[in-house]
Amino acid sequence: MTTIHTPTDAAAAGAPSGTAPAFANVASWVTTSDHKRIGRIFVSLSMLMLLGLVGLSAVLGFDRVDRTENFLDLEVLGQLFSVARVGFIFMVMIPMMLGFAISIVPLQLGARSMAFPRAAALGLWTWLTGSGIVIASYAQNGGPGGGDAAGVDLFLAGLGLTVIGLVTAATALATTVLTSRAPGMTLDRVPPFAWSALVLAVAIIVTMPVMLAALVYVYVDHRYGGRQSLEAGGLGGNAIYPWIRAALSQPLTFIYAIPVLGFVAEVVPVFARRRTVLRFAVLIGIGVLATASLTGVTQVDHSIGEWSSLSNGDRFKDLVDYAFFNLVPVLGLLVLMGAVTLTLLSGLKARSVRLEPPLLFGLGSAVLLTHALVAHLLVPIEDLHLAGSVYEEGVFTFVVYSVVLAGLGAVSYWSQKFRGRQLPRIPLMLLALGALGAAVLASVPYLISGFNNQPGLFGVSRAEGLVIGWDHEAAPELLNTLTGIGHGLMALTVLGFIALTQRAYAKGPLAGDDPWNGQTLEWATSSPPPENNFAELATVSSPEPLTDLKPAGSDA
Amino acid sequence: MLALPPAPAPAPRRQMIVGTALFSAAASMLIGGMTALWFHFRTEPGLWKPERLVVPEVATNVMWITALFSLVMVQWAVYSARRGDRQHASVALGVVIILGLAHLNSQAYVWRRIELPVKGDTPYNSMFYAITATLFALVLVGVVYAVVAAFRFIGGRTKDRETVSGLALYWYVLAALHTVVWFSVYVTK
Repeated sequence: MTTIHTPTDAAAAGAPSGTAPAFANVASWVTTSDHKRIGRIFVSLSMLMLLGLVGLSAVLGFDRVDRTENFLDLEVLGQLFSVARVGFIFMVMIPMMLGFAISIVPLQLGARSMAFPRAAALGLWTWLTGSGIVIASYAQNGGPGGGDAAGVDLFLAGLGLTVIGLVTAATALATTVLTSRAPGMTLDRVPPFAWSALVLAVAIIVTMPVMLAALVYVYVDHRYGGRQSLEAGGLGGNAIYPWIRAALSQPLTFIYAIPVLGFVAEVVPVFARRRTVLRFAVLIGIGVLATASLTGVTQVDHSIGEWSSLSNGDRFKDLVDYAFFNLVPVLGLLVLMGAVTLTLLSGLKARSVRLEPPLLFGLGSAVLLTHALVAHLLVPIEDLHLAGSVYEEGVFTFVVYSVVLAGLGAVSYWSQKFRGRQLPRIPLMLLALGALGAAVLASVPYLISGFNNQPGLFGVSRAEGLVIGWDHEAAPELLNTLTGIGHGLMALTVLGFIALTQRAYAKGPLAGDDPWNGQTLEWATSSPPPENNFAELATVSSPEPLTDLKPAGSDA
Repeated sequence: MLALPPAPAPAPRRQMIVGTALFSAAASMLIGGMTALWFHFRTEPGLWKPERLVVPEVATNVMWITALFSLVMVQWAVYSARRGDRQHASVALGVVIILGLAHLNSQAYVWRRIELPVKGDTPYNSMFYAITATLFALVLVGVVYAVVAAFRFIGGRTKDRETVSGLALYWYVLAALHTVVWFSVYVTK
């Protein structure tokens, strides 16, 4: 099957030749219906936004170092925090994961194209337009905590457009996984990354419209109804948050990170050179984690109350609710990570594990996401007083940076399929370690400061009393400095990664079609793939179709 | 490069129907979220609906009946398309489009007759326009979908039955959503 040899340079260049005017090249990208290009645009733009947001997070981190004085204006501090939160979720996490999925999943499924590619392109441009409007609204003193009524309206409209774009792209992606698989590839044979992409897409389809419903009402009421006007102390302040808080907080943010687990489950067997042990557990684990997290969204207020004030009956009731809505997602994660760990151990026992950058990035992102899920278990326990503290920001930072690490890992893993070039191994491994260290540095101090009652700034419109002059139980200066340094290091790491990849794409060595000895169908076509992906459709008879063809000693 | 055994071109896997089902799920969540908000505000203590508000119930009931009747027409289109009957399918799709436009026209009439300012003392006013305008937009999508299906069929793609089936699925979901909105907004108020 699928052995199409397209000259790499010609394929990499896309449609227009080198003599074609630049305008034609741009037009071919803007009007493209090639899923690989659509996905790459999603990923590239989210990487650029990531760079800006990580830089902003570093500034916000350093602003908290001194409890007696801050260098940012208190009026805008709440808005800047909301820029970071909204931006990380709607401009980085979701589009980055969707972008990789749109780009790679059809190849993994052995499909010649994705379903509804023009809908995916429409989703891309709608998302970009909406994101631009959201950024413009903040510049106009809008958004949560904003003081300009028109700016607040602009924010609501922009966020609504962003959501519509993401739902449109997610619909095309889910349809692809459900309808465009190669013959023989039943749903239980799809690669873990494709499965996680399906779960993410379905989660977006069922959750985002609910938020859109709230945005539509709030927009109508704020712009035309006047009931929640700025003068009435309404939306200019903190009143937007109750409407969108669920989409910006844990446990829903765990859903956005589901493809992280799919990526880890994808790369571990490849670099352990083994077939996935207990493969069904991987698929079930992803499904359980997503379903339980979605259930938890409706139950965020169910926490364990102050123990001493509860009767035995209430204690039991609280514990049951807590276990059902908080421990079940972790159970899903444990099932999945158990299978992945067994696969890795199997490779270590056979001395077949290769330490490569994608594996390092993948394991790092899994560690971060696991920490986030486990750390989140403490938030609903009221006796710990962690809700509303920086602890919650620490958990969020873990989730965001797990997605970032998985994103960087995905670029390093599938770079051949993007541009036909191999990325340098050692620098990438150093960047992976740097990114993991930066993520830990940016998150862990906030977890500690949360126990010291440092107030969080998520959902805050005016920051007086929260940034300076708050009571404390320990010296937080060092911890806050470490957080700022962590975000700064992450910014440098991302910048270094982008520079490295651009250099490699321009001058790096050409990659082979299957440099990692892969197991799934994207490695059965040329690097980069031609426009229609495969010349012939393959017949698939196992979850690892390429491994079936390789000599037993050479791979799994 | 390794080569797997080639496979024959796979049979179509109902992309339009699956895509429409997913879009319908999103639309259902959108209206579901709106309805949840409606009842959330409605159960709040204090005044809800403006006292002198008169809902043109004849128009709203006719709208609902129109939505149900359009299901017969869209099912006629599916039946005709499966039999390859271009003439009947085209007529049925045309009637679906006309009924969709009639629905939009009725909604505009209700907005005009109800004489309800968007600005009010309770969330009722904003909520009324938010939920009905959202349904209006979803019906508009359905009309565009029907126009595309009709043009494809009239243009000679008579074997493209999946698009008509997808349209029918969307129209069924739309009728269900309309029933929810009609019951919430115009019956229980």
